Amino acid sequence: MDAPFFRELEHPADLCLAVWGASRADFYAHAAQALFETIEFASPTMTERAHCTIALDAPDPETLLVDWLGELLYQSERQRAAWQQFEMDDISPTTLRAHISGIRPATPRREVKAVTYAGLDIRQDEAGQWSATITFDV
Amino acid sequence: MSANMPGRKDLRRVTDWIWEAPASFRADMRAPARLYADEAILEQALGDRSLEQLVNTATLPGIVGQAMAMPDVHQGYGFPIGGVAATRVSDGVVSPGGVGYDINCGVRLLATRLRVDEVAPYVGDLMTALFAEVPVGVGSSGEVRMNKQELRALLAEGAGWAVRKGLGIAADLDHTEDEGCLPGADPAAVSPRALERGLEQVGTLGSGNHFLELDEITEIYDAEAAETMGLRVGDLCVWIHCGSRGLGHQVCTDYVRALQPAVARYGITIPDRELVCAPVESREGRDYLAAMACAANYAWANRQVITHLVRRAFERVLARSHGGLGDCALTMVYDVCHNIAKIETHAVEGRATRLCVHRKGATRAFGPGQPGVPAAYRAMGQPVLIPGSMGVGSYVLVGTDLAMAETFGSTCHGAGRTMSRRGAIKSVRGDALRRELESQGIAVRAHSNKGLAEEAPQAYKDVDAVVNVVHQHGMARKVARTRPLGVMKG
Repeated sequence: MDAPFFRELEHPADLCLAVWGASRADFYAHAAQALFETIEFASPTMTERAHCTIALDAPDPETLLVDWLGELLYQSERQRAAWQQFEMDDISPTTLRAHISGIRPATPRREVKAVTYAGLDIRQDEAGQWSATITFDV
Repeated sequence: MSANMPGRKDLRRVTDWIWEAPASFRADMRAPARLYADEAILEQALGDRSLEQLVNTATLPGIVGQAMAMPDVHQGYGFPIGGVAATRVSDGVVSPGGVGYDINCGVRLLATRLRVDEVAPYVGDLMTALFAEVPVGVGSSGEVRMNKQELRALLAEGAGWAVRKGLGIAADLDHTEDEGCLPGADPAAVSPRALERGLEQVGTLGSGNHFLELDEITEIYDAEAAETMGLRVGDLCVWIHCGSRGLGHQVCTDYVRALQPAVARYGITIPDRELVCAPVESREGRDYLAAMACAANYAWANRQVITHLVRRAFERVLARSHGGLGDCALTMVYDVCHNIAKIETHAVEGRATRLCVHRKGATRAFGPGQPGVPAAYRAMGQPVLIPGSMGVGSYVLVGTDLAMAETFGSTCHGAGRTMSRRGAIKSVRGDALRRELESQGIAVRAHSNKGLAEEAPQAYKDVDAVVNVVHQHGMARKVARTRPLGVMKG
């Protein structure tokens, strides 16, 4: 079984996820995977594969994370897709290029309105692990 | 407890209903942080990060009076939900995070002259018809389709666009806050992505805490005000709660992102990046307000189109039993927005001052005689619509002079959550809740039992207690209470 990479935290109204990863690339991929696992999707029996390439440039790592997750939500709504795989082709503190794939059509079971900056602070601990707590407006 | 978060010992009890952390509580505060609450609500607020977020709000440049939290307060992001903060237009800031992502999320109440004891046998049919007519749920799309040019016209005109298209009547606009159109809307300030997301969602309810309800008016507390609003005990009424859908969410996302560098550019220090802001009169501030007004207008057009769909459903169902609605037409009582920033003039230290009033999960509650209140209601004050949780009931109030003097004409917006969505799903089974509500005579129409469980009454504060605080304190006055007969959720 895969080791856990996120935990849902208590929040009276919104969705709050604590996410971690062994590398910067793992952390950004885990944040995406945590979000899409939490949303949950319904799909018909017959689906097709959906793909998308995402390239982002941001002024800081937190904005890169907000942009990354926001872009995934937008592409999910636009393509009616549930993203399942997040392959990081290239990543730096402020840039990211990734190939994502999943299935469509897929209907989200919960609406995520936006990714917020609330309390967002990406940290790397002494063991090298990356982590942050991300709040989504739902 | 974090040093950033006030505890009970840090709060001064100002009156029976007011608790305040002084501006000296934290070095970066520019104003006191004030909570309106009874003992139980105070305890709940101390249990999450609401008060820390309220103190953060009190750091905004140009804030006047106090940063305030209404009794439906709970932890949000940036501002707490139930938060009110007014900043001077001349040297203060506007914060997109102080409005939130669902710009002009709001509530509309429609009255009928239909007696519940007569139409009770048709409530199930009405709910089924409404569920078929009004698109609901995540990513739902509406029957009103348009190109981007038409959408830009809608963003500029608001609810008036829908009326011009035959999806309502002029009287609907008379009874809508700002007549359903916030001035200053500039579609050029709205991103192509936000426009794209808005194309197919006009006339859709969405999901989460948004709902459509059929209620019975059960109590009248102020007979004269109720009569003015057309509310009678035993009549059927309709509540609609929704906002600006994906377009509004995208506008907020775009400007929270775009304003990040503005904070440094204008030398502003904020304790939380979600409080990102820019001077009201800066290019960035003006652009945000122009885009926000577009999203607000989208929300009013959205609720207007839904109103049209509700009327169509009623006509269809009651054609068989009542020969249509006839004299029982669904009339607009009022429409309020509760996520907004507005440029208003209020008395500050005795002087009329232009302010940017942020209401995030708070309702405008203008008192008697105020311009901006519809002529029919001006003598009594603005109607204030406070939906409670599903299965419990809702309130109609009116704004007061005290609200004008103390809260920049603002009050609470709902019951306010106390339990996380995850906690609600763990403790409530959606199918059992559906059966429980049905056993209470409430017809339920919902796509998802899980979504229903997230919105269970147990997840919310007692709306009676919340309304009691604003009524007893005097910032709004109770007029009527309603109880649900039918609930429709995403």
